[in-house]
Amino acid sequence: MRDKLQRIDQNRLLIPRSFKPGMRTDGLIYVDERLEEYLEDSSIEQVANVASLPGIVGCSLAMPDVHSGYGFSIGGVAAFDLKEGVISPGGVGYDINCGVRLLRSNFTKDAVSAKMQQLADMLYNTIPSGVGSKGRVRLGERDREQVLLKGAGWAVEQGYGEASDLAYAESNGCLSGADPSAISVKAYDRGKAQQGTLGAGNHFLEVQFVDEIYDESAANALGLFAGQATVMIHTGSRGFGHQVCTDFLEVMGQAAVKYGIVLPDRELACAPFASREAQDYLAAMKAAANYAWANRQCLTHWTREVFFDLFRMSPRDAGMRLVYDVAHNIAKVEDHIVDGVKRRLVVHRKGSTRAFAAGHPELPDAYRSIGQPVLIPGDMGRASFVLLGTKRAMDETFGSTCHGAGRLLSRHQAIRQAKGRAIWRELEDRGILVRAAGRETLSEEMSDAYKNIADVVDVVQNAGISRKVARLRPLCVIKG
Amino acid sequence: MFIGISNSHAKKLRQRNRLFFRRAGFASAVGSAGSIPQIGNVFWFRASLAGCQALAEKLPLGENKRMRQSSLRMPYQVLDAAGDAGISAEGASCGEALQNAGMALFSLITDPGRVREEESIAFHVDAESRDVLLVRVLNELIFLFDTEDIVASRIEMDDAGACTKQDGVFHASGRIWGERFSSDRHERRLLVKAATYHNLVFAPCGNLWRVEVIFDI
Repeated sequence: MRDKLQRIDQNRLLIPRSFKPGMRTDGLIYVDERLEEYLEDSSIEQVANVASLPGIVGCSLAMPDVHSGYGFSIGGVAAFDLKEGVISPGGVGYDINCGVRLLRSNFTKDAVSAKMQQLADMLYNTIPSGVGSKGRVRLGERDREQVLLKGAGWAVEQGYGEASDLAYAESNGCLSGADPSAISVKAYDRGKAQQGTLGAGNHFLEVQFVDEIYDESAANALGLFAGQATVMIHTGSRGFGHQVCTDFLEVMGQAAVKYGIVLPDRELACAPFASREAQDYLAAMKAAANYAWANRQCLTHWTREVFFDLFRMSPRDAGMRLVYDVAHNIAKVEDHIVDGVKRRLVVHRKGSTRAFAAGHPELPDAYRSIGQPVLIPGDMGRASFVLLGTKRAMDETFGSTCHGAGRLLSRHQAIRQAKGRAIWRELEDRGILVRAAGRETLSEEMSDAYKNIADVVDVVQNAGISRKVARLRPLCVIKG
Repeated sequence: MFIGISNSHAKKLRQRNRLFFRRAGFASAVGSAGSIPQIGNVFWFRASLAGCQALAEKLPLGENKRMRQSSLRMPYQVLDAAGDAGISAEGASCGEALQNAGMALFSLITDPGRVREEESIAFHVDAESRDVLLVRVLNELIFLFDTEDIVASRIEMDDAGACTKQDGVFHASGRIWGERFSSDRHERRLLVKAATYHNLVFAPCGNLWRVEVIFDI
């Protein structure tokens, strides 16, 4: 299998169309020789399978944090023509609009570290996290539709955060075209008590500090400075989005048969973009994306309240402005230049972050001259990165880049390797406090379970599809 | 229900005779000491719940308590699955395999051994194929956990309709017995998003029905 792959350059590996029958285009994986060592055969197969779907435009892409998913690989990007192409729930994933947001602050690392135990306890007690946790928000009949239509804007209307937050979120924290009538009763039921919850697994809330600045002027524009305390929140649409995906995988499975689409993998279930089934999914997916933006907005508000209370500071003095909010599991209709022609496409990013270049009209005014901020969370022991989108990303990857470190060990392997080790103490020795709801969470999520985020980020930087602005190190981690 | 005994323990049992099973209360053992059905590294015996409890009490003298505990297994296992988690389960019928798969799912969420049997919730699922039936049953259980907070100590499935189509569809009716999840009393394990079709298995295997499912975590 591997002998069919062709290394184009230091950072890109081509899966030629001849790799397997049925491929309509090439696959392209952004990976250097070091990360290629971790590249699974199943991921290569999945990138090739996506290349066989109808109406795919450009290459079937995978980012350096690629690993095996269901149907589509995690770290995959695929764009489809609106007339000839398809939309697939598998290309978005179960956690619709899983994403990351970053808050800046006027606090220094030292000021925050002095009260870190208290801060960790207060955040852990304030932010609902872990299996079975319920949010402080209960969605009644009216609100359950409003949150789907307005996204983060709904949360701001309820008093969770500031109107100015919306300008600093991808798509202003809301996709238009969400349709509450496309949502099943089950999805509503599942989402009722989970608004304003962190979840579990790799989701987290971290207090971090800016450890290194790579681009001073871009960091200034983002409001970041060395030694500054920041907060990163990584979560998504919770059970609501999971149910939307579950519901529509069934619909799409039947639709694929109805429209005669041959699927190399059942989890690639899809429908022609213009079909009723596809449009229903898109409307439901947008609703779930909006649910997720509201979720991150609620958590932002409660996080700020904890800081204001603990440090007895006014919102203005604390300066906890949203730097940006990105979605890394989503499908969006976007305009891209393909072979010199402007085309409207539906771009699937599953474990991939939008990375638009400077000048793009969708960017906030404050960032239009530098490019879109890209937030890449790492594991809880190492680092996270702030990057910017580039023109090369627009040219090569439909304005997309990586989304995280990417798993290296299975959960069991991680638990086995952590046996006899006190992960919390190892982290504490490195100045990182952790609070986790689940007994095995720390073992499953330890640094050794992930690729080194610095290696992943180096590939996207060296390939020119993003550029580094700052590295953030964790001080305190809240996990589910 | 089934009880599985690991390879090394089964070898010891083989050296004894059928008397062992009678002493252990296995009136309905599928295999004898000489012909024990094997799946993977586990040998399976059919027994009632009382039979399994009896094994714990009636293991031959000289077997220490640790061996008693380690030789007692539930008829399902958790599978290693990259960043997610999977389960395998067996049953003498489709219904029993579904029921064991359901318990395996709940074992990913919490420790079923610490769940009290305080209430029950019935569920019913239809599907056009057996694979879809399996995924729908498991997604129904995930839905019930997410919305009703119920965790299971036991699941009872009605066998009728799960193995053969009735009026063109497969049916699965069942009841979860357990209690509402409380983080004070119950261990928090994994947050399960959904059952997937990835490498799904739901098929006969010798005298048993075998299930393998990967869950998105």
